[in-house]
Amino acid sequence: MSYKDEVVKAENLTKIYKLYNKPINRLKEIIFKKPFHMQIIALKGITFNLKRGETLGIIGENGAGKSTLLKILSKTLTPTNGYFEMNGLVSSLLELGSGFHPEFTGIDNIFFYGALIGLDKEFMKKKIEEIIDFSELKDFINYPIKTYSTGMYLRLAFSVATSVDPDILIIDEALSVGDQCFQKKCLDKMDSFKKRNKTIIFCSHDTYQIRMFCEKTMWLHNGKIKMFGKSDDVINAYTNHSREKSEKYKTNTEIINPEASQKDTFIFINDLTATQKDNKSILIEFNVSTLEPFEGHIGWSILRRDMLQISFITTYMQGLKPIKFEGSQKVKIIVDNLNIVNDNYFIYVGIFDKMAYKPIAVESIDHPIHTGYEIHNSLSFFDSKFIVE
Amino acid sequence: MKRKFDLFIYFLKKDIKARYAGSGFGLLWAILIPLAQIALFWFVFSGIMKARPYSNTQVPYIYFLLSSFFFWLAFSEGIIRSSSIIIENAEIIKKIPFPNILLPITVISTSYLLNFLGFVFFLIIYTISTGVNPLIILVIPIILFQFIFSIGIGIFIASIVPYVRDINQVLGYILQGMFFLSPIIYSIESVPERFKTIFYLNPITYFASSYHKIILLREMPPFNYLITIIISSSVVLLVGYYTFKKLKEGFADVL
Repeated sequence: MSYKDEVVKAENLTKIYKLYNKPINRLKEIIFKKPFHMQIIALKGITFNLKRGETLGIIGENGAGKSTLLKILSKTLTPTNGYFEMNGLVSSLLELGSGFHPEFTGIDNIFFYGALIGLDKEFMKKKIEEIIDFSELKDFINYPIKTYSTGMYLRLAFSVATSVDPDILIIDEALSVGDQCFQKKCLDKMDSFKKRNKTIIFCSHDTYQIRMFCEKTMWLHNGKIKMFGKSDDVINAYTNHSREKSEKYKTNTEIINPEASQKDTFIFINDLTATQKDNKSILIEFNVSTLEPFEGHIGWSILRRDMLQISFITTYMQGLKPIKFEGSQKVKIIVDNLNIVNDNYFIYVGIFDKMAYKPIAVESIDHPIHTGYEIHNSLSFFDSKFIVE
Repeated sequence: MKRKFDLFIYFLKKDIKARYAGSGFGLLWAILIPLAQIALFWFVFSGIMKARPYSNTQVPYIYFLLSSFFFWLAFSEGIIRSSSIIIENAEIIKKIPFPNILLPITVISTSYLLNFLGFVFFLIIYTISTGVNPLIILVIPIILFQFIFSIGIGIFIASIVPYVRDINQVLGYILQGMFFLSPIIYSIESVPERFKTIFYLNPITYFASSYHKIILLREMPPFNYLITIIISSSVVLLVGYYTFKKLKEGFADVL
């Protein structure tokens, strides 16, 4: 097989679930040959191809058909219509636990999984050390799986699914239960798969992970492909769509919310700029002008494109005394030790009251940050230094 | 194919191990339960009802009972276990693609293996006390066909139960009926002529009677018995296989 081979080929995949009110209706249908069910179309006409080494992210709202599609590709669900081909060994991590047997011990389950997907015992014996090491479950591996916590379950499942060296790896939303450290380990492992030219299909609600990890993204909406293409384009469209939708419902969940500031504003922020000095630091500058003398705190925060707040710090949190503002002043915030991924971010700055409870004035900019990192954990801590001139 | 066979051997080992080592008394139960059942039937039919399997011979009742009882146990245990095996393994079936059909085949094989050991044990004692019988070799094909027959029924039931779960509840009674309406605790000869048709409609009759003929009476089973055995086993296996093949596509939807 050559480098450009198509490893995944799906044509017109359709899945229709039949819902029966009563189990007996299913039997009635077989006997009387009349429909006794309600139809739910979970997937409709999904057609796509993946070449060797490509990684595909799948996004979409709950019930869009993501899991159904992955189950079909993993061959645990039969499509109602359509056809697909997977060339190579497929290993999948569907939801939690990848079908472990709760009564068996960790070790037994590792061999069990190997046997189920058709690998011989010798091969698994060679891999066992690696699996136990990666899962960090050395002390628990001889206990039944039912005694494991969700996180332990995931660690074992991920270790097993990836250790068998599949050509195609399918991962469904499973990483979200792991702790930060293990998530990072998983992403690193997936990255090494990517570098070795394996094909990965990855479904997550975390558009950030997908953007970082997948070249191509499929956006599923009501069982159909709404958009398919370069991850950046698809995810931008998706986050815009989600934002529009959430604005409709007006949930004020953002920590710094301009509307929450006092109505009769007397303090203003302007000329907000951010300049990147090097890979690790950024300088944020702005002017504060006030109509009357005011004592308060300064804070800044950085948000991902999907409005997830990554970091937030105020002078109050740093244990500093309230800052006196009079007339017009220049504020500089020097941020060091940035460990976030190359992307565009929203940078918010704000002036808070004496107790740093509520923002009085807020300003934000959309700014690219280049750090050279590809993968990161969702919460970060930076060194921030506030200077008021 | 090799992959399937390897997986089957793996399942089989695992299942036997689970039966023996799973719970603290695993091995004890595996031996005690059939022994208690045998003792009960022996006591009721031989001790109280003074049943004599054949009027013209002096075959002890316990030999009569044991010559077919182990394979009845193998059949009924295998069917009961395969009826729930798909639901028990729902999590795995939903998440990993593998030949599901191996699950019922495994549990039937396990119960045949374990009961076969009991049968061999009986044969050794029987041979020591009554002398060598070269015809005994004929039980092997009968056992094999009964095994095929059980697999056919087992995979059929296994594939239907996820759709119609009530079957599990009546299955025990159906098996009980099959047990009493087959010559296991009494010989077919002692059934009144007008009721015999009922017995001949029960496939177990042909197997049980064949064991009796070969082991106790030391004669060939009637030719029409053998034909019935071969045909019914093959038909049941084919029907079971195609039913399973058709219905397994929906397992992930109904489980």
